Amino acid sequence: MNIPFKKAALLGGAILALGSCDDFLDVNQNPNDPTEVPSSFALPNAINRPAVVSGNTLNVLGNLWVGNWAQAGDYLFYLPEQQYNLTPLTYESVWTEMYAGSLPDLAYIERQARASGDKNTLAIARIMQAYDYQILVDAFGDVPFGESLQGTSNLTPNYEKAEVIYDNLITMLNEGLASIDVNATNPGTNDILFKGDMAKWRRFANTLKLRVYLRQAQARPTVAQQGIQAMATAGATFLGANENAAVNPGYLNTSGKQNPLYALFYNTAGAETSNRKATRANTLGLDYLKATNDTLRLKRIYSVVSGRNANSYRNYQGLYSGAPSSNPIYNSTRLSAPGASVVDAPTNNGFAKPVYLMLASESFFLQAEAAQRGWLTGASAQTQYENGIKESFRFLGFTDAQAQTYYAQTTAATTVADLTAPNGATFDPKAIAPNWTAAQDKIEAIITQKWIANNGFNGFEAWSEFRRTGFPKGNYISLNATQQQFPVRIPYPQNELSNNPNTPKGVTIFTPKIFWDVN
Amino acid sequence: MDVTLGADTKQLSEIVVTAVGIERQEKALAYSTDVISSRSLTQGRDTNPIAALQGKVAGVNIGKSSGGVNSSTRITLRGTRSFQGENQPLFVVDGIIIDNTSIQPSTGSTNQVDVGNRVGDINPDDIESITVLKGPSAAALYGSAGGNGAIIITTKTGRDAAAQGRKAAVTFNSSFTAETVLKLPDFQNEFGSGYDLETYVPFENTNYGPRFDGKPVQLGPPAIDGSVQTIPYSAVRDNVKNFFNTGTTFQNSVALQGGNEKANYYLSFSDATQKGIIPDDKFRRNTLKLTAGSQLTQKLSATTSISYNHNKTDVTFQGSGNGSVLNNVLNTSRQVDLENYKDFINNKFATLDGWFSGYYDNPYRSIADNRYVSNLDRVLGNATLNYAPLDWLSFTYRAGADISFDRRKERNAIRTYTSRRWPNDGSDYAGQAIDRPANNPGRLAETDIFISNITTDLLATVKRDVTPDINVTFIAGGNIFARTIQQTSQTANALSIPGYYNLANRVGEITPSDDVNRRRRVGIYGDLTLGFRNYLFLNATARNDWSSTLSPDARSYFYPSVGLSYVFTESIAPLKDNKILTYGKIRASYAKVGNDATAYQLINTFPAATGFPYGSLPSFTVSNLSRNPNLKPEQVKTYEAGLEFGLLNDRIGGEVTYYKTTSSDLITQISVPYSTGFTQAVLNVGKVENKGLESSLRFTPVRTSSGLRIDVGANFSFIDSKVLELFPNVSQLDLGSGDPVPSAIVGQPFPVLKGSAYLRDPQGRIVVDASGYPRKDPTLQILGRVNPKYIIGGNLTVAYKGVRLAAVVDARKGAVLWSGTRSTLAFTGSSLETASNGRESFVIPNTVVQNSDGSYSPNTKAVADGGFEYWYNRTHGVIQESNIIKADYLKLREVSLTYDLPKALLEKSPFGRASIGFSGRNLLLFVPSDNKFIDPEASLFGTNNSQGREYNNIPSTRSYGANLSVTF
Repeated sequence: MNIPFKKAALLGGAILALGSCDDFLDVNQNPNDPTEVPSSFALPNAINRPAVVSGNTLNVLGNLWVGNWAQAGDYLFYLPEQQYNLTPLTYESVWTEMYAGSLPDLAYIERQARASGDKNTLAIARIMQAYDYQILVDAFGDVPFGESLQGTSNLTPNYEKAEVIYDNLITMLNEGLASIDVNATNPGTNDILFKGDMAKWRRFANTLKLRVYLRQAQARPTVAQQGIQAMATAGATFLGANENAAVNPGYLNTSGKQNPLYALFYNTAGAETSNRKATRANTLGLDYLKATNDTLRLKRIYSVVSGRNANSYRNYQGLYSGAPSSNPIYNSTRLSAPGASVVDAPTNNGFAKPVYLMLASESFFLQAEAAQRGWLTGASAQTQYENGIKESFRFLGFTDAQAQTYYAQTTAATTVADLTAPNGATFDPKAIAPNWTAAQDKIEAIITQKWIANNGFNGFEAWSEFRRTGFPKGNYISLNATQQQFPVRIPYPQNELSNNPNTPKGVTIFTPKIFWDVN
Repeated sequence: MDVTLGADTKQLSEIVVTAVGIERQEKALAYSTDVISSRSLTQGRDTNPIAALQGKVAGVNIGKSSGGVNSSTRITLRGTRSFQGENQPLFVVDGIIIDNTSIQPSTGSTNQVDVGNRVGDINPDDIESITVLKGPSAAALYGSAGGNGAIIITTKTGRDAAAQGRKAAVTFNSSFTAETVLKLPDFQNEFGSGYDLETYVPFENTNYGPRFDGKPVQLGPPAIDGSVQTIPYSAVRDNVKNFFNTGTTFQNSVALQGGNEKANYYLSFSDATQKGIIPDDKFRRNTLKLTAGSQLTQKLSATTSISYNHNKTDVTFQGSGNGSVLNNVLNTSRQVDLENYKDFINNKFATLDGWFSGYYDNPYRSIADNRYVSNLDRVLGNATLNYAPLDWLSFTYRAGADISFDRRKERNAIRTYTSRRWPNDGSDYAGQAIDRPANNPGRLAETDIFISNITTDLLATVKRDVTPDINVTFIAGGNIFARTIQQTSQTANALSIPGYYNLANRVGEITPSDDVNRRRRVGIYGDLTLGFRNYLFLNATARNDWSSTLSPDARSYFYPSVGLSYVFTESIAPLKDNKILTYGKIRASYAKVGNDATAYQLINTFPAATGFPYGSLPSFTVSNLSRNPNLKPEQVKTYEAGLEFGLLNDRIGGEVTYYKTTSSDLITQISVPYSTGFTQAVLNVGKVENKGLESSLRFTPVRTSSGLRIDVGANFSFIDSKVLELFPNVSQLDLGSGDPVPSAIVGQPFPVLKGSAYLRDPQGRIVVDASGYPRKDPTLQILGRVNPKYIIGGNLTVAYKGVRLAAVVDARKGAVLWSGTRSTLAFTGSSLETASNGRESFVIPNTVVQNSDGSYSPNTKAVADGGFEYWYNRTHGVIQESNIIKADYLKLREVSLTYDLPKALLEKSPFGRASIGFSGRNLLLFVPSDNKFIDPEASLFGTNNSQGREYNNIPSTRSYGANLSVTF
């Protein structure tokens, strides 16, 4: 303790002098995160966020609500879904992943690409924006669009009419299509969807456009018809055989880096999670396959009851949504889980499998419907319908010949004892037969086949098409539903209700319907 | 009784250590302060000095987060003012700002640890006194950081011993306390494992099975060797209670002090060893402290102090996750005698494969498998030089540092279950797979947290009598504060070799994180006190701060305070030397305090995107937080007025203070609509008003010449707050996430819990659906306030010769708590309430149905299932209002009895002083009848702003102990 006083005074003087010394205070540069990055670094995440939504969150919900999956009696995972009791929090993550995940990155990429004249990156940004917004509209109806993504300069974005946004989807897709230049530089491996294959992006954009138009086939037939006819005139091409829109950033068997649906079903040790044990086959989806002798696809879409012989289709069992939990026959261990094609086993590196934003089979079924409505020329509706089935078989590892045998059936050949949908829903026996000629309602046949092809992969699209068309007819109201009505939408998220006074009031999962849902 | 009214004016001339270590006369203070002596602090032998303030100070809200070892204690003064941060006061030890963070390992409700707060590092035996400066006026001189008030801790020095001419006085303190669980939920003892109310399910964790009948049943699946355990089907009433150990705390400290007129010193060493009520929970704290002072020359003196801490915490997890011990305990069915399954290695029915439950782990195994270990080293030092060139002028220079380094290791064991089938025994399960929880890949997280706080002060003090009537004290000073927090962590989310915890032993990639946070602040200030004839005092302060966290244009901000105090009993002639009104003072003050932002809130960033990099593919994403280059400082304005009085020669005394604080331009990370492209934005928003009344009364009914003295004290505080505005168009702001969530809602107290609620008709009756089950309100509702409206404390001291008995009670009223324990127990069907209807179908009382015309009529429909469906699926699992309990309580907080051995007895011994004592804490707890679950003091999220929720917290404890103190 021998500090001379003069030195102390000097230190003290220094303190006072520092008040005006900005250098001492300039320590507010963030050392933890960059404040600027090239847009190419943002692209992988911009595509990866919607993959989580389509491959996991909404895929699960859709599969539960179109009779593909149901909750095992002895588990509690999907109570709100089965009771139709979603809160504003249940599916908030969909909103978050899009508005605060993918879309701001896409907006940033779009700005940077415009400034630098990077045409293909701009195209990708516009196409993905359309993909994201269609999901938002199909889930929530009216959503913020023109005033969205402006940060603190507009903290209360206005909600725009769903049909106006749908018109803008076409604008975005058109701009994206126009910006594609297969000879210009492309983002290569940062494009985790098509690896920079801009021709595929063009076909994906066209197929998406077809999906957007057909969704409006009942609500705004003129818009749909004219739009599709214009595409036909322009010679639009669509996703073809094996051209699935598959996202894979390089999924790994590390926590947080697995295929998102796999991560729900298995942990990094390869052990089955409780969530998988809770997620079991729905009798509707299962029995439909059984009733149509579709045992090949059945064994890929669903897994055999644990410990049973996988060859016999009888060893695949499901339950109805909301079946009484007290009955031990509905225990998880007695039922089938989603199959190996949906989420492959850890031993087959299931964690590394891609997420499908859209299957190629859907492309054919969309073309079939457009042709059936007379809006698309070229291949006949039947051809495209059968192409769709063949594509679905191929995707699940089967041959065209096996598909042909399947869709040659004109009547339901197998009698499944409990093939009666509960809760007032009925199967249309004619729709059970996959044969085109035998099908009375061709649209029903197309949508029903699309439902099968999407089973496990794109549940949300299947649910949207069910809402639009009412197919598959056998879909039923969950047995423990709180209200005897089908849900028609997802409630607005809590965050938006709390913080944005423009959020429409009085919205429940039963009302209002999305504009294209006039069924 | 021989009662004499002897004058005891000690109270009146008390010196209070206030901001920046400045000692002031209490009567000159224009604001409310409380001083707690060492004796009062240590009488209950709590290891945390803040917990020891409970019930002793008005206007102060103190809560222990859990009953774990070294549990954290949150303190707020006069309510919570700001939407961000912890709202806890500033902690100052011997003039140096110290760190009081409590960095929890997780932000979610799973796998939480109550890590303690850093003020708990201080050995209570080293503390001379604690001064509580409640309002911002008191702390105006600390600047921004003192906006929430300040707790000024003064530690012991060798000065007293030196003054007594002692060269080496040794004080030895030793205490032992035993802790037991204070409150457990009320359990039902009628039903066991099952879910359909009829079938006994041997591996089921929920208790919705058939009624107990005492007959032998098989428990769980067969062991690996095929053998089966059979137990009587009847409730084990105390299976949860017996799980908890009796915790123990040993505290030993030795202090050596002394000196001469030139120099003095104080040296202490302490050791606190705790064993928790959860088996294997351990905590050990060692402190070493040296304080030395010296009069170097007649005009120059120096004091220096350095203390070192080593804390080791070794505990398991609480919360809602699978690794949470309480979750596993509460999911043990009522017919299972938990204590029999301690040996999870040799007892084949206690192993992973043999344990009865198909879904939850043996809690004893869970304790061994899930550990949190922290090794914390901390050095706290300061040096002060005082130079007084003239008798009215002095300069003080002080520099201090508080540096801590915490090495944490969180581990979860690999758990692999054998895939097996039930034997073909003709049972319901024959041939089926045996249910087990999912295999756990193991996990190891290593986190290093480095925290450094450096403070320097230089001040000049002028003290002069300008005229015989007017006295001036002027202080001018400057202060620099610099803080760095660096956290790095590496996590392996899967391990390969069981039982070996090193990052090298991982499967897959390491998840790293790296975060540095630096901030600096410079302030200059002036403080002028004018005293007139020793009864009228005017105090004015002014301060300007420059902060690193605001933009260069906004980083400078100024704030003043002014106060007046008037001791009317010394000014008005008839009142002077009045025997009835001995002392009377009125005071009023106004203060404004500015507050800066946290670091790095100005410029937007691009953090690494979720999941990325995937291998060699990186991606960065637009941050979810919209930062703000235009932030300006927050403003806190406080008005307060008070009255202090002493009656009958100060036999009765008390004070009343009214205050009103308005905080505005609060720098807040508000939740913004996600449709803006962000989830949060940093803005200057909102206005919160806190007002309240604090009063305290002390009374000495008995004071006899024979030495009997009885003191009674009471304090009462009323705290109200209201959110006046948030942001245009925004009326709600969530603090954290979940259902329910603490929120700021315009027009409501701050904060309130908001969550899912029963749908109710205009008369408040619950609306049920066509099946007779309650309907959920589609909008989230306010479920109650988080902070109590009334805080009451009372104490009694009886002293007779060497015997002193002290008791403290405290009570809180007006707040609610969301009890995750209640929800868990409804899920497991083990709480008493779930058996209240005998599991029969019943009509929920006082419910209505909505008619098609919108009107309501009384409900007559009975719910079909009075078991799991009603108690969990339709209520406690989905409508969080049903898990809300009143957080009111009355506690007998402390009782202590000490006996100082008479001097005569000690004369021939080597001891200067010796005393023995017995103490107890939390001896009695009274709660409203709806709380059959937990001590409502609990909080899952430790000491941060997100209060009002508990989720399978470690229950709080009652403690009893004995202590011995001797001086050589």
